[in-house]
Amino acid sequence: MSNSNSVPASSSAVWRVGFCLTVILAGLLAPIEYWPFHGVLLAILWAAHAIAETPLSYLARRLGVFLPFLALLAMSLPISQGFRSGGDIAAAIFFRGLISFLAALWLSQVVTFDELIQTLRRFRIPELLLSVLVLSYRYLFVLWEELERMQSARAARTLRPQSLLGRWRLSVQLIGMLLVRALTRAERVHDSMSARGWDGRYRSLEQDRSQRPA
Amino acid sequence: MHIPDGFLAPEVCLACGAASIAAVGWSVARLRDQIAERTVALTGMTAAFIFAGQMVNFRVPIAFLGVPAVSGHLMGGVLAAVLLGPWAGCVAVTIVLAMQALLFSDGGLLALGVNVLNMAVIGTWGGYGVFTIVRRMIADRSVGTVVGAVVASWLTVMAAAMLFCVELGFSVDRSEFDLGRVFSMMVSVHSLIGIGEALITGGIVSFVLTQRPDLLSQDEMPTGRRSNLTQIAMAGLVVAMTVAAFLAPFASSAPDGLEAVAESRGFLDQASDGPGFVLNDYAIPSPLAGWNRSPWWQRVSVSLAGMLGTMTVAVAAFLFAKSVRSRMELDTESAGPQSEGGPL
Repeated sequence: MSNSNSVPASSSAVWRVGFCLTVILAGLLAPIEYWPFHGVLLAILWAAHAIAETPLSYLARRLGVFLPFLALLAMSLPISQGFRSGGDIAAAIFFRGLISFLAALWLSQVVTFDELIQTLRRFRIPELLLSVLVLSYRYLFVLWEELERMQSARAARTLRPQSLLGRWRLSVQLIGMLLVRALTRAERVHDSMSARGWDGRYRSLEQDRSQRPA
Repeated sequence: MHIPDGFLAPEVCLACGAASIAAVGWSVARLRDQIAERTVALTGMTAAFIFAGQMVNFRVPIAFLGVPAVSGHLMGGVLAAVLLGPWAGCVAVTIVLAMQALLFSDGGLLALGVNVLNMAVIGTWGGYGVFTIVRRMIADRSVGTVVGAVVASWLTVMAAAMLFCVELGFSVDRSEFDLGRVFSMMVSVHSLIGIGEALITGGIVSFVLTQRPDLLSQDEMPTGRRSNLTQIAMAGLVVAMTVAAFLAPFASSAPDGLEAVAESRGFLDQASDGPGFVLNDYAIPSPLAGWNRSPWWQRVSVSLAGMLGTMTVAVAAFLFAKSVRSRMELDTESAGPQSEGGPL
């Protein structure tokens, strides 16, 4: 998600979401025989990433994880048919998956989290879901840091290499303790939010500014 | 498990999306009826926890398509349902999937409805149903909680894999595609993945039970008749038989494909004499080489894979239950003050 202070929740965010979904849908609906069309979509997405100044290293890292997974998924169909058929479907899955992935990655670069929430609100997503989404996003990074601290502490205490069973048991305990801490923290957070007048609705500074009379 | 865009037909994505909107909308409506804002914070934190918990990798020393070892992670549908109940659990897992698709491009945007249906709805509604049934069968509440979570985890993974096959069936041309083979492959692979999920979920639930049992006692269910561990094993056996009976009709399409394969003997020879693909003999290999080509063995092997998975889960549930009970008894005997800390 972009950290830039771009325009506040506006129709342009809706257009960006619309562009992303249109590209994905176009890639899905076009038959794989029209592969030059998929090539054009990939070129458009490449240009869009260039304009959005997506770091190449970030793009390479994400593609490095996603492409092998996509290739394996695409090949699973020909493999299940003993390579008798399914080659064209595998190619279609690969190119469509790549187009969709690049489009979604572009969206996450050009739409801030606040804009995303405001856009989802315009699409009449229930307020309860948006509140949970906002809180999850806020807590996620807190829990990631907590997890990293716990993993470092565990690595510092575990001197000898563990057996497979031992490693699994330690990982389960790690997640279990993260869960206990997360739920305890949730109670504390709720108490502190209630003390500050939390009424279950998420508000952003941009939204307050735009609604304030000039 | 996160289906990217491009795998399923757009109309299938739309249909699943509509079903997901209805199911999640129902969950939100039920949640509104019963909650204060406290549950919003709890649900948000649980969703963040599941996301963060998925960062912890569990290494499996199994070679897969040339990769020396694969690793898996928690999926968390049943865990969310056990912690929050089916409605808030469904919302929490939906939020996890939405965050992964919207913010981290993990799973397709158009396929989000499919992923929500397969994992959030089936994982929490179905998982909670199985969990409740199994827990009611066992008199000891702690043991019932762990066993229920273990069995429900495995079954929901299998259900998601089967549902995916149905969705795929509506997305590809079935006249030129042998879906029986895809189904067998998915069921065989996911019977193993489900064991991993069951072990992880069971481990986490039993850990929380020993550290903070109050977190898992959200509603006091009336316990059923007294039962013992033999009955638990019997229940596992019943589930295995049910699964096997359920798989057989689906697997019956396999012989059609094999007849088609038999027509082109050239391929058959090539497939059996070549170096072999890992998933070519997709189910349990027969001890006798000739059997692998037999249509009836293809059918039986799928059922065997299912039964083997269920029995493994039943054994795992038994071991977890035993360890939880002994630890609970130890805690009661020591009667020391409970600290929030722990071994980590």
